[in-house]
Amino acid sequence: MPGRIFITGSGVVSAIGTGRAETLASLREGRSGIAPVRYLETADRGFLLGEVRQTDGQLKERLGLKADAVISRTSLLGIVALQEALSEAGLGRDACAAMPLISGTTVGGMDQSERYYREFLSPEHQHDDYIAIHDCGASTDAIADYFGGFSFATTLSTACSSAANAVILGANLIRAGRAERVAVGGSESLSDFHLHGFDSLMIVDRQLCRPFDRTRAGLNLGEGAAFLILESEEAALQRGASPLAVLSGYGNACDAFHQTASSENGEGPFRAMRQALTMAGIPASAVSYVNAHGTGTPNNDASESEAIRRVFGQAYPPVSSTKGFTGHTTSASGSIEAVFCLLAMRYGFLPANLNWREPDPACIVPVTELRTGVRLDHVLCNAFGFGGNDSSLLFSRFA
Amino acid sequence: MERKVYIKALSRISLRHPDPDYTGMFPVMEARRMSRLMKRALAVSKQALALSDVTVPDAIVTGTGLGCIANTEQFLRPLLGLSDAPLRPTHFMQSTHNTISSLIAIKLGCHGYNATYSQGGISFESALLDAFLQLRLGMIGTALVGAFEEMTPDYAAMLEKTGWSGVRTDDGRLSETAAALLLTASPDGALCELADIRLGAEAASTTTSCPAPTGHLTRADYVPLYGDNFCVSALGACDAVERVAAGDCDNLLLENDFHGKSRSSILFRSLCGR
Repeated sequence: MPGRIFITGSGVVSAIGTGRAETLASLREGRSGIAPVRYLETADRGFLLGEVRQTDGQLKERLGLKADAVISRTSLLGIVALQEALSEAGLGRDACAAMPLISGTTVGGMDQSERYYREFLSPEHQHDDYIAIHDCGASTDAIADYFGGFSFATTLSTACSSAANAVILGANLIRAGRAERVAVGGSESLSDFHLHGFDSLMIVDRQLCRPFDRTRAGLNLGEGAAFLILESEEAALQRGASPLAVLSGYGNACDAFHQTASSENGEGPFRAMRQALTMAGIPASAVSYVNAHGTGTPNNDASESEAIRRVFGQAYPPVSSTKGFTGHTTSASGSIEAVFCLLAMRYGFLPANLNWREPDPACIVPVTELRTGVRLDHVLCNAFGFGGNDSSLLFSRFA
Repeated sequence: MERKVYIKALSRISLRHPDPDYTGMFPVMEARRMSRLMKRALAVSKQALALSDVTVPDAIVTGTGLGCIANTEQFLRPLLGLSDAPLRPTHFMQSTHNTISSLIAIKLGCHGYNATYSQGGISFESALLDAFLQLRLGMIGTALVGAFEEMTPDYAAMLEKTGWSGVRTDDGRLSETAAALLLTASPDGALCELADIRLGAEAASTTTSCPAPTGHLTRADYVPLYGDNFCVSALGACDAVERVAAGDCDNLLLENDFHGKSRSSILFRSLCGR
């Protein structure tokens, strides 16, 4: 039996706050960050978005970067979150140089590419530097460079489960003895490209998203980043680091059904959740809370509900989707919501599933009001992506 | 934990390994919606599986630097007013990097582990590392590892602006990669052992597990053959596997120093004389 994997640091930025403190306050006060478009450059102002309320310039200033630094918003948000995670874990630049950085993103540098694309295609050389930061890997490299470099950096790109899969690779690196500690998570900025992409699929709601509600009609997009520091039990204890929680299980399965739709029986989500429970060696009944993927699209929420019923039966644990707070932060959602789970476990509360009013026979009934004073022992966090890339992470109380 | 990892079969399409005849390979309606990259990915995946007598692998792990860039451009151009074509949801659906890996899973009915890596010039190596770790940990018994890279005239021109060469051949053909390797936990009928793989600053440490490799391959060997793209090292890996399988060397170190941005090293070990 291999040693446990501890989480010793966490950092987050999203529409509901920069850092854990603001995030916690928003979650407890039921304060959503979804609002009409304010920062994203898009011709259509009719969308509701979960934007991080800082311009690229403000983020650069906060991070001590020059105003003309060639860097994507994805990287900027990632740096903000990773900085907080490293700080909580008490790790500095030397530690970074000795550990891998695994991030998840799909947008990468698209927020800049769509701004400069005409120039990219012209023979002139203005903004050529931005070509090299287009790809997903480059956005992770920029995060790594800010901290003086990691032992290596790599990037998962499995759409909306990217960050969850980054956690899984990091855990496997530790289990295989390839690393004592890893920084894992994901980062995604809003772009006109994916806003219109999701809209073209007719799964964006122009009203507030209502996960699991009978009248749900789609998602609101969001952005943000979150990172966790994972450490082997041995390495953490050796340096006297205190664990926030234990990553006790994880699962990755493919729905293998459709490029953008989820199967009716929720096969991928079902398998991902089951694997996580099996790895942890706990019965489904031991789970105290499920942070659902719950995007608010008719298809996802029905499919996920079916999978939850298959795993837990009719007596499923409290479930909520926090997409009503942040919007769907796509590639970063897996790690952002993982941080929400850690906060919920630490402070003993269940975040509410905002905007839910009417039950849908096809869906589970979520937690609609904040519940406090609860003890959470095992928390399951779901992240499902296009292509049926479904992952589930299980966090357990450190004891 | 110390399970060994073997490479059982490989298949690739490159400037030197021509496309198969796709006629009849896919239903007509479906073929119309599939990009060249997707057709290639399915073709090499199916061949690698057939060569290794595996119907459905336990895991599908893919590396791609740019993903489905042709579809991405087809959605981006009308969005930016550079084309009068309508915004087509299909182009967006098929623009995400994981489109390829999930398409393979859909075609194979594979519910197993599925992931896609996009880390520039070490995208393939990242995918290989993931599968390698899971095989070593005994989490899976087989893995289909793919490296898929397409190049468009626009993207080639953009890369050339940033100083890349080798994206195009002299006669204008674009350097692209489609490669699939089947990894197993069993040495039966394997081509070679995948002894080690390291990324980034750890790349130099491969030599500690093998101080004096008898064979050596670098970008200077394979880029002149296949041109340059984010996944070209996968074609180098295929050559390395073939050399080791042919008994050219006991072990071979494949080193990838990608435009001074990222590094990786992979150690292949011969099964001759086992």
